[in-house]
Amino acid sequence: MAQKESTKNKKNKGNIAIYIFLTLGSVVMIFPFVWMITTSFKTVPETTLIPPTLFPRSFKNIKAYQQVTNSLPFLKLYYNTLMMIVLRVLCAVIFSSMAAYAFAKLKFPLKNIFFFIVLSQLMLPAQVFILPQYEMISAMGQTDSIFALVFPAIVSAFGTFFLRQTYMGIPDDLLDAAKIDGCSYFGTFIKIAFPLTKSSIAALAVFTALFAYSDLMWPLIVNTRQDKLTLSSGLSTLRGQFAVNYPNLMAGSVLAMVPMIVIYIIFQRQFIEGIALTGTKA
Amino acid sequence: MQILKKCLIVWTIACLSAPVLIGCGQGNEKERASDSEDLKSETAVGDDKKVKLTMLGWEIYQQKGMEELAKAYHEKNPNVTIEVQISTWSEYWTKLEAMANSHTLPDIFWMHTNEFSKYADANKLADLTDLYDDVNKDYYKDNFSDSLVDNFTYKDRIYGVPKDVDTVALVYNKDIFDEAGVPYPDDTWTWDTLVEASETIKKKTGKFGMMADHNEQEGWLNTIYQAGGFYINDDKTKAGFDNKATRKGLKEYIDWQTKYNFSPTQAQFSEMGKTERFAAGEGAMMYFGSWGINNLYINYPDLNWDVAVLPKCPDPVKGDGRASISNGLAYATAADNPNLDTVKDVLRFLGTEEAAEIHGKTGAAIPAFNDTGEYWSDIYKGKNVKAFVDQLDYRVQFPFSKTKSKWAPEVEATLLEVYGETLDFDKACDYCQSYVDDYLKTE
Amino acid sequence: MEKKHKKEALAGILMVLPTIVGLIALNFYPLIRTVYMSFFESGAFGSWRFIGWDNYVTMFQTRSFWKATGNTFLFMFYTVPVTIIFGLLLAVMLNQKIKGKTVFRAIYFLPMVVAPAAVAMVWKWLFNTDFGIINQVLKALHLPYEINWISNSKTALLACAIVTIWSSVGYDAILLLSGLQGISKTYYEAARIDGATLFQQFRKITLPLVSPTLFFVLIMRVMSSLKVFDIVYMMIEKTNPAIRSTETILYNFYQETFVKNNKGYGAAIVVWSVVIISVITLIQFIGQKKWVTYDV
Repeated sequence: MAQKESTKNKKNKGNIAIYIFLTLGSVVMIFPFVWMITTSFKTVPETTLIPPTLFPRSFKNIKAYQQVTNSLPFLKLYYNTLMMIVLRVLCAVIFSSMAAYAFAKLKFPLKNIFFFIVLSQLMLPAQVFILPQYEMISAMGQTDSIFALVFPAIVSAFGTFFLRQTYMGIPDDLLDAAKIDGCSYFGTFIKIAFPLTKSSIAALAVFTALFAYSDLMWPLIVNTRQDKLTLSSGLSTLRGQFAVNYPNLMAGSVLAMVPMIVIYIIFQRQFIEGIALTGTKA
Repeated sequence: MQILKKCLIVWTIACLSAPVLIGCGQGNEKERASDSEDLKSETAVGDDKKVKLTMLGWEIYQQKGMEELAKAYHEKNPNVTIEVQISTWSEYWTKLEAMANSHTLPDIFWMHTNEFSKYADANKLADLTDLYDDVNKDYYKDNFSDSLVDNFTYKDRIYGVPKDVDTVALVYNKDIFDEAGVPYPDDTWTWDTLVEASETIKKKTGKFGMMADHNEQEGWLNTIYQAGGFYINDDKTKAGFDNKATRKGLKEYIDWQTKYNFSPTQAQFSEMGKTERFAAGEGAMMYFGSWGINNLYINYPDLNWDVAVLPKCPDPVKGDGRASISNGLAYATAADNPNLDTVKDVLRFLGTEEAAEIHGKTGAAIPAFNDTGEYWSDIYKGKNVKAFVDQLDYRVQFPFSKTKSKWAPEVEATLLEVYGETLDFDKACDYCQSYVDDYLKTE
Repeated sequence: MEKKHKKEALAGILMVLPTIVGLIALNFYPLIRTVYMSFFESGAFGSWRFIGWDNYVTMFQTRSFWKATGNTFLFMFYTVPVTIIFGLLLAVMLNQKIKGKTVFRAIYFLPMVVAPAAVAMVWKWLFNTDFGIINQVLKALHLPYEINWISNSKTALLACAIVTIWSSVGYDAILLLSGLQGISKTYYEAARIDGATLFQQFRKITLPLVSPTLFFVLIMRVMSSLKVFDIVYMMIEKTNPAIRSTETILYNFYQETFVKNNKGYGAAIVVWSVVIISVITLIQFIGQKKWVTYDV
C-alpha cells in the first residue's frame, strides 16, 4: 500500500510541475496573440498611444473588421486557401509517402543522388524558385488559378524527408513477414507500412497546411486578381506603401487564423488517440 | 473538452459568417464586378467588340481612385471594361518583371522612376509620344511639368503618361505649439526658425520638436537642394557630395538629430517611426510627403495637425533657398500589348484634365496635370494641405539614374554611420562621392 | 535472386519517380540555374555578361558579407539548442496523461498560425525600450531594464532570435510529439517494473526511440536558422543603427537581388548559403550514426 501511495505522490508532484511549466509557457505563447485580438478592436489612434494600452476603449468597435471584409472578397479567399491546402496536403501525403518508403526500405540505383536532390530543395531560399516557376505557370497559361497556387508544392521535399525518418523506424521483420506471405513491394507499402505512419501523416498534413497558408510571395506574384489570392497574401495587399493600419492588419490576421486552427483541431485528434502500434515493437 | 470543441466550432462558424454578415450590402458591387463574365480580350476590330482590360497598381489607398477612373472610361466606352488590380509595393516589381519576361504584362500599369530606364532600355514599353497628336502636337508640353514628362522619356520618345506628382512639406501639431507658446510655422520660416522653435518646444513641453529621421526623399535631399547643392548633376555623370552647398544642406539636416536634443535618435526611430510618434502626439513637427496625408486625415480625426511649406535655407550658396523634393508616377503599357489601340485610348483618357479631376477628388495623390492640385487639396477641409500644391512652384525632381538602385543603398548605409557617429561627416561625403561617381560612369 | 533485386529496384524507382521528377523540374533546375547565374553580371531582362569568378571574389572581400555570415551562425547558436530542448520537453509533457492536454496543444500551436507581419508588429511593441512589457517585467524583477532590444547592435539579433524561438517551439514540439506517439507504452511499463526513474526512462527509452524524429527536427531547425530572413526583414529597418549586426546571409541576398538588382551577385550569395548548409547537413548525417537509432 505504502509503495503505491508514494508512487502516486511522485506522479502528482510530477504532474504539478508539468502543469506549472505548461501554464507559464502558455502565457508567453498566448500573450502576443491576446494583444493582436485587442488591437483589432482599437481605433487607429489608440494603437499609437504612449504608453500603449492593452485593451481597446470599446470591444464594440468592429470598424476594422468591417473595413477588412469590405476591402477583400473574404469568402473567395477562404475558398482559395482551403482548396490550395487540401490539394497540397493530398499531393504531399500521396507522393511523399511513396518516395519516403522507397528511400527508407528499398534498394535502388542512384538512391543517394536522388536523396541529395530532395535535401537540396530544403537548403535554398524560396525566392530562388519564384521566377523560374512563374515562367512555367505562365507558359501553361495558368496564372490566376488554383492550380498555380498548388503548383510549387505538388511534390514535397519536406514531406519526403520527414516520412523517411518515420519509415526508417519501422522494423524490417514486419515488412519481411509480409513479403514472405507473397505481398508485392508496393502491396507491403500500402497494406503494412503506410497505415503505421498515421501519426506522422497527420503531422505532415498540419505542416503542409501551415506552409501553404503562410506562403505570401508566391500567390502575390502568380495571381493578380484579388479573388484568386489566398488569405495571407490577400491580407498583405492591405498594407499601403507607406502606411500600415494596425487594427485592420490585426483584424485580418484574426479572421485568417480561423481555418488553420480548425484544421489543427481536426487533425490533432490523431495525436491524442495515438497509434495502435502496441505489440509490434516489443 | 467537448465544451471547448463546441466553442471552437461556434467561433469558426462565426468567423466564417462574419464576412458575409458584415460585408452584406456593402461589398456586393465588388463581388459582382469580379464575378462578371470572364471575357477574353479580343483584338478590337470595331467599336462594338467587347474588351476587358486590366489595370495594375500597388497602393490599396488608391484603389477607389482607380475604380472611379475605370468607371468613367466605361461610361464613355461601354464596350470596354477595366478591371482594377492591386498588388503590394514589396512584390510589385518582382511581379512586373516576371510578367514582362512572359509577355503577360497587365494592359495598364504604374511605372516608377526607379525602374523606368530598365524597362525602356529593354524595349518593354509602348511608345506613347504621338498619343495626342490629333488633338495637340504639344499636348504633353502644354499640360504637364517638363520634368514629369522627362522622367518617362527615353531617347526622345515618351513612354509614360504622367499620373501624379508629390511634394514634401512640414506637418506640425498645433496643440504642442500652443502648449509651448510658439507661433505656428508659416512661409517666413527658415532653418534657424525651425531649430529655435524646436528647442523652445523641447524645453517648455518636454516633447520632441522637429523629428528629423534619416530619410532621403522626405529628409536630407530637401535641405541639400535648398542650400543650392545637388545629389547628382543633371547629366547624371557626377554626384554632388563634393559640392560645398550639398555638404552644407546635408550637415544641417543631420545636425538636427545629432547636434541638438529636440529630435529622437536614429535608434529611437527604428523602434517607432516619425509618423507613429507624430500620431501619438510625441513630437511637434515632421517633414512629410503628400502621399501620407490621406492616411493622416482619415485615421486621426482627433489629432490637431496642419501643414506649412518647408522652411527655406536662410543663406543658400546658390538659389533662393526654397526647394521640395518631388516625384511622379506614370501609366504605361507593354510594347507588345495585343489591344494596343484600345489601351492607348484609355491612356489618352487618363492623361486628360477630366481624369485628373476624378483622380484628385478621391484624395489619394496630387494629379500630374497642370493646375489640378486643388481638386486634391480641397478635399482636406480645415487643413492647409494646399501647401503641398503651392510648393510645386519650386519642386525639385527626385533624382534618379539607371544604377540608382545600386548606389543609393550604399549612400544610405554610409550616412547611417554618420548618424551613429562612427564615421566622420566629410569622410562619409568623400566616400559617397567616389562610390556614386564610379557607378554613374558605367551608365 | 537477381530478379528479386530487379523487382525491388523497379518498385523503388517507380515510387520515387513522381517526387524526383517534380523536384528536378521545380527546384533542382532553378538551383542549377542559380549556380550558373552566379558567374555572370546581371543586366535587366536577360542582358548578362560572363565574369567568371568575379562575383565570388568581390563577395569574399566584402566586410558586410562576412559579418552577415557571422550573424547567421550566431543566430543558429541562439535558436537551435533552445528551440529543440524546449520543444522536446514540451512534447514529452504534452504526451503525459494530464488534464487539459488538448487546450495546451492548441495554445502552443497558435504562434504558428499568426501572420508573420502581425507577429513582428506585436513583438516590436513588446521589445520597445520605454514601454515594452519585457523591459517592464525586467524592471519589476530588479534586473537591468533599459535595454534597447531592437536598436542596439548587441541585442538586436538576440531579439530576433527570441521571436523565432517563440514561433518555432510549438512547431518542433508537434513534430517530436508525433515521434513520441510511435513509442509503445509497453517499454515504459517494463522499465517502471524494473524500477527505472523517470530520468532513466527518458534516457534509455524516449531519447533513442524518438531519435529519428529528433534528427529530422535538428536538421530542419539548423537549415531554417541558416536561412533566416523574414524576421530580420520585418523587425529591423535598414535605417536601424543595429542593421549591420543583424543582417544575415539571405538578407544580404535579398538586398542584392531584389533591391539593388545585382542578380548575378545575389546568386553567388545563395551558392555560398547552400554550400554552408550542405556542409553542416553532411556533418550531421555522418554524425547520426553516433546517436540515432532506427531499427530497434
